[in-house]
Amino acid sequence: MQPTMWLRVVAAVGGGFAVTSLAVPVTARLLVRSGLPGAEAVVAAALVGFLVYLAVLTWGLACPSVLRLVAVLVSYAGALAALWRWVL
Amino acid sequence: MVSYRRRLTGVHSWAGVVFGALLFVVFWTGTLSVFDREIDRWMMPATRLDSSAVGAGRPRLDAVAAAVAPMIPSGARQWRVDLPTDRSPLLRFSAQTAKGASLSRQLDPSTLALLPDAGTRGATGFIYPFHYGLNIDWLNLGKWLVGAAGMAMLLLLVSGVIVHRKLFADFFTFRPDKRLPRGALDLHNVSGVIGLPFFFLITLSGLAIFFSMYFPTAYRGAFEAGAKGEAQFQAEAYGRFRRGPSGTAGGLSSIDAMVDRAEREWGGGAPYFVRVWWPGDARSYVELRRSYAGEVVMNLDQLYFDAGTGELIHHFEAKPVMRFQRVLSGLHFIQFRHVPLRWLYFVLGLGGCVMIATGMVFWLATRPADRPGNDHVGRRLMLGTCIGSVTGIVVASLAFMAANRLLPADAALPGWHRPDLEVFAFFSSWLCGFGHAGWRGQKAWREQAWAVAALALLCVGLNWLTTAAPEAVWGVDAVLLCGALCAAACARRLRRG
Repeated sequence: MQPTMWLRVVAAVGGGFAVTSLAVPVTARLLVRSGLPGAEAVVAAALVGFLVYLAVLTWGLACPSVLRLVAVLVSYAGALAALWRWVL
Repeated sequence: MVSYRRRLTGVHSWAGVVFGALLFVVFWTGTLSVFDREIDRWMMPATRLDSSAVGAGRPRLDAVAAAVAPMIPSGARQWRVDLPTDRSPLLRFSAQTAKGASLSRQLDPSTLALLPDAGTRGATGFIYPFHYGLNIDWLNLGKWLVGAAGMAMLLLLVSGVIVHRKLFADFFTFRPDKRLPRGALDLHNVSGVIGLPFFFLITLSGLAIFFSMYFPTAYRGAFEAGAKGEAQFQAEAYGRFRRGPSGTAGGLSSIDAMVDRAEREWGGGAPYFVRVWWPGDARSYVELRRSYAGEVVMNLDQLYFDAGTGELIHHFEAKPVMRFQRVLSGLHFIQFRHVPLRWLYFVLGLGGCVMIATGMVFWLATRPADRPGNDHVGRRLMLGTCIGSVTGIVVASLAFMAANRLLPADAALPGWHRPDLEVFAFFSSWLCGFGHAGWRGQKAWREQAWAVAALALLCVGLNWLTTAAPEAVWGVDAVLLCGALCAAACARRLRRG
């Protein structure tokens, strides 16, 4: 496998999981804000998380450009982290 | 779209190559776990009790509490009795000391007599935990590996559907007379298409069961970070009531009265276990959980009574989203009473095994060793892994069952109890399966298929030779005989290539 292939796998599998793991608590907090009880929000967000990660894998492992994959993941991670840190 | 599909083909084959062996192991042990209680009866002959008495009414729990009282260690943290069901017609007593050590015994529900020590972990104690944890407790590594394989399975299913466009045609295409690559691919497609909804659901629900482990930071969305917030989340989601002991002595009032009260609270629902926390303490309390034998959802309905006064002190029911999670869990665990559906799960589970195995076989068959550019060592490694994980684990499972019948009741080695020796038989024969596959290469398929047929017949023979009521577990024997026939047929067909 070429180096870009490895980068793609690491970005999609590792980076994708990191972004999903960030998106889950953010979603849970948004759901709490909209009135769902705490534990319910956590369960709902985590269950959706599996499908989100699946979507990231399916798209990321086969997307045309590795650079685009990394750029998208980094921007999502940044946006989620900012939301968590300053808004929620 | 065309190039996306081509790239996904690569993703499909690589995910299959990396996770195929592990996925087969998880699917195989999961399929066996569908009948884990039945295999338990096979492996624990003393527990082949008459299950027709189970429906007649629950045993008097006050009498059960008196019968198990001498076995409760002093200063115990909790003791628990699981009530008989039609698949498991016995009382299971277990207790935990304050330090966390545990013990368990089985009782005959009609006489309340102790059954002899089973001397085995059985399917519920070994095959089933192996299915989700691979027997690796360290850092939950086994569960993480199974979780990764689960995500890979979802990815394989989605990419498989996109890669194979002719889904409808695949339904009707199986050409077993063709040579290997084509026949294997047909079988891969037909089993994949027929079982597709089941495979997707069973994998997703399997992941959903361990959601809080796979997304360890999820609770922080609503609770403060740290052990306290995590415990708070667990209590709100799963409804755990806890209170510590006082250190002064206390009594235990009638459990039967508590069960009567519980049945009124639950509108007729019955408990499936009773647990007494801090027995003999003034702050001791009794936990009852409602059975889910009659419904798909694994309800979390639980009632807590003060042990001394018999008063209801806490009541829990899952909220809607958690209830949905428990429906997913119920679809995965199939603890509900439904014999035809249980067989359907078993057959579809085997279909999943076929899909995974033929996928690996196809990959190998399209990369023959004699073609230039095919790395010899890598291919040999893949072939060995494939054979060792497919026929190898079937051999190991049968060796586990055969060892159960062959080892004497008091078998032990220094530091090893009888159940450990059975597990040793499992792992050592599995290791032999890998070794044999590495040594014999392609020929190992046939040889291990014959080994499966011989071992399955041996198991049936041993059941009839060494147990008193072999006909009570005729279902397991029947599946073993069918398995022996299938394995022999495969072995004969493999001679042609």
